[in-house]
Amino acid sequence: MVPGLRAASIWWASVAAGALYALTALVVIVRRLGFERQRQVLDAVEAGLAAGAAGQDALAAAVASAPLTLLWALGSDASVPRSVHQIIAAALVHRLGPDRLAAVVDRASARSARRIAALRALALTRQVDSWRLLRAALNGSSREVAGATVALLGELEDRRASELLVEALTTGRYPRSRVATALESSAEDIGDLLVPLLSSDDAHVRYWSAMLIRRHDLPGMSGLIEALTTDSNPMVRKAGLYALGRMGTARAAETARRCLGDPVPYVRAYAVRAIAALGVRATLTSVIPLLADRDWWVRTAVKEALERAGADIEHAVIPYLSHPDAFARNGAAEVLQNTGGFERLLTLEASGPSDPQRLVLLEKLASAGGLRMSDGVLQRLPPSAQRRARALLTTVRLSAES
Amino acid sequence: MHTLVAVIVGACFVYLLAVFAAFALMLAGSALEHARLAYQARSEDYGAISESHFTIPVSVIAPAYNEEVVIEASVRSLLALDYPEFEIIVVNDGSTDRTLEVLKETFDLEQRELFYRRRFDSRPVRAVYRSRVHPNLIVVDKENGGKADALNAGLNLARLRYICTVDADTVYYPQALLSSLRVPMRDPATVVGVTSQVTISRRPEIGGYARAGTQRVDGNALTDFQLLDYMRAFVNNRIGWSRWNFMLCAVGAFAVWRRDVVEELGGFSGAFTCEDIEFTFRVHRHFRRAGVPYRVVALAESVGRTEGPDSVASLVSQRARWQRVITETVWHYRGMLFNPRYGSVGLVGVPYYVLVEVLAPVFEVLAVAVLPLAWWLGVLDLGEAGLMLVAMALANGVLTNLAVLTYARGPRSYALRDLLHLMGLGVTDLFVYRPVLIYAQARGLIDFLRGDKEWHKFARNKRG
Repeated sequence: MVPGLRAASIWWASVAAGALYALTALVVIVRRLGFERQRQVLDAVEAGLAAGAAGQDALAAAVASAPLTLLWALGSDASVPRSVHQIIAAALVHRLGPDRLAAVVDRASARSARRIAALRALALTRQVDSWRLLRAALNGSSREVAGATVALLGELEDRRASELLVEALTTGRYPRSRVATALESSAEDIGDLLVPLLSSDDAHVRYWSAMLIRRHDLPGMSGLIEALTTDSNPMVRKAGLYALGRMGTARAAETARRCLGDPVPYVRAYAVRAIAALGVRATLTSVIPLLADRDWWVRTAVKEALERAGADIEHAVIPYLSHPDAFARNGAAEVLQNTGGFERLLTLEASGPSDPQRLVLLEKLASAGGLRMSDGVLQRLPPSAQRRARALLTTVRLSAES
Repeated sequence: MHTLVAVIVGACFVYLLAVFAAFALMLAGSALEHARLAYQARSEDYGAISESHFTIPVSVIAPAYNEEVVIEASVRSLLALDYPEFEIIVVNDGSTDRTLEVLKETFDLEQRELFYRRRFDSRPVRAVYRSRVHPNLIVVDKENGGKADALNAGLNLARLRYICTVDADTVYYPQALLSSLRVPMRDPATVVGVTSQVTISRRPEIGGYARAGTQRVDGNALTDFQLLDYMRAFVNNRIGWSRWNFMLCAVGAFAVWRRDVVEELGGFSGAFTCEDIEFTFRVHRHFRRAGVPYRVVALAESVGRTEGPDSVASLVSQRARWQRVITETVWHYRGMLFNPRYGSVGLVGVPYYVLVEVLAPVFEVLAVAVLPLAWWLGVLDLGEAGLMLVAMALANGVLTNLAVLTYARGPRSYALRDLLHLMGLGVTDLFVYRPVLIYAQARGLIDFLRGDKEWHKFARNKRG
């Protein structure tokens, strides 16, 4: 025998393990069958909804025969389609009544899934008490219930839902990014609710209200947004620029241009993005010196902005091929590569009479872009132009090296 | 002699009990954490998140070495991710097969020079390509330097705030990023890393994302044993580790990291055979030393299918490497063992690794070697030993059933007959699959002692 172990103990251990094995296998099978039943009800409800008036009887039968546990499960699942949720909500209210459902929501010890399903049922059927319950759930101790409430409020398309979400944005009891996502998905006009938040004492509140306000245009708002770009908190300045780029206020371009000198790199990068989003060519040239910025994020933002502008901006970029800063030279060459400028110049020079100015430019491009850029450009040319272009590039490279 | 054998048999038995006790503890943690995560996942409005401007942009980095067979399917699955803003950087790590050609042909690549910040050392980059049809796809062709080196090359080009490292032999499900990033989106200041689980297949490129309840297992016994192994590892262990914040292995097949953390820690290390476990250990050490609140989270959702070896030789090669990597990493970070400065990581996580992973081959080989001797000397009664094996097999079956119950909402994913098949396999695991693993783990330990640092990539499964 195993030292120190009695034969009877081994036997009982085997029996216990066998019983546990059978029990857990049974639980797996029961859970699987339960899921099968849930899917059947879901399919029946969806089919009934799809069939319109003709499917109403089948729909009613499917919901009536579904056990309550199944309705709780479906009612708490956010992946269930909205139209099905509406049916489940009506069924729950019909079976239990609003008061019992409200009691489930209020009972902190109840399972989260049930509390969520009950809350959804009351909110979707617009019960009078639902707003009080939604507010309580939002501020309650259960993170799961609060999270589901935020998502639910985003779906409700109701002014009161937006007010509750804005309140949640202010208190910060639940992650503000999530509240902002719910507010963003709502079609409600909430500009007037957000404007007072722009001057909140809390930087997080100013930040999120600025991020959200871009699609609401109200009188006097531009001044508030512009003021945010001088906020003491860089995150708020960034959010101000984000809003500015999307709202396109009268002085937006000038304000964003001023922020190109901000001491914080990501604010400078957002200023560049705001200018690019505004699409004012005259202002766009003001970002080009930032090709020599000491921060990589800013240089990347500048390159992206210039590339998006395309051939229009090429003339303003070309001088930077001779810039004393290597980052600026590389960046200018990369922009001209991606706008197609390099390719166009090379094709022109390879296929027609030579132009001395063009040759000088190609020399600078080849030098600033390096061998791999030249190789890449060559590969993109039509085969007929490749031979001459290759010879030309070899000449300009040699000239650049000398 | 008699006494010595009795002591060894007793030690093996005590070890076995300790391992089962550790499994039971982790299982309890996993069950609680899984319930919490399941509620959280069920109440998420994925539709709103997938369309939101506030969803965090992600750079996905996929190192590829000789993946010509599966690279197309893998990259296509990444391009099909349901996520508002992401870029994909595939790093061809000096493949000697047609990986780069397949990428060029399939995704219409053109060479472009990109000037980027070389923040991390890597072997020289030969060329950078952009796709004409997929603006968010970049392919980097570089000299071979190993997976960590390829990841570092990708990091240099990555532009976005979060980094997701993936494997190029894995096919991902559309919800992979959305279901994982929802966690740091709730708490970006604290959650620095997220990992999720992958399922396994002989040919991951075949078959899409099956409707709930219709997912099928591979049907090949060796692959299905590996699937069970993955389930137990992910569900019974990692989710429990995550609950107590000592999630010590964010898997290479899918790990999301906050970019500033990767930068602060100097990127991935090529000094180890494999980068994933080591980097996770490093993250924990860094934050525990700094005393800054942080979390590395493991999720229960399956994010894709990866290729599992379909021959015993390939499986042994892969698992020997894993054993070597674990031992290497635990040895390197041995200063954290039972060190209260590292909180739950030092007091529970690393000791758990030592007990369950590092010491396993020692006791397993010892048991296999000494049991016949113990029977011959009369220390062990053959009938009782057999009964004990049956008890162990059934206990293993219980662990398997519990993993099936929770894995990727297990009962909801697989067809009923496949669930029965998996639960049946669970009890035979000890006699059929475990001996192969014991051999592989012992070989891995020996390789570690010999100082082997090679990857030993297993040969790709044969395609019909």
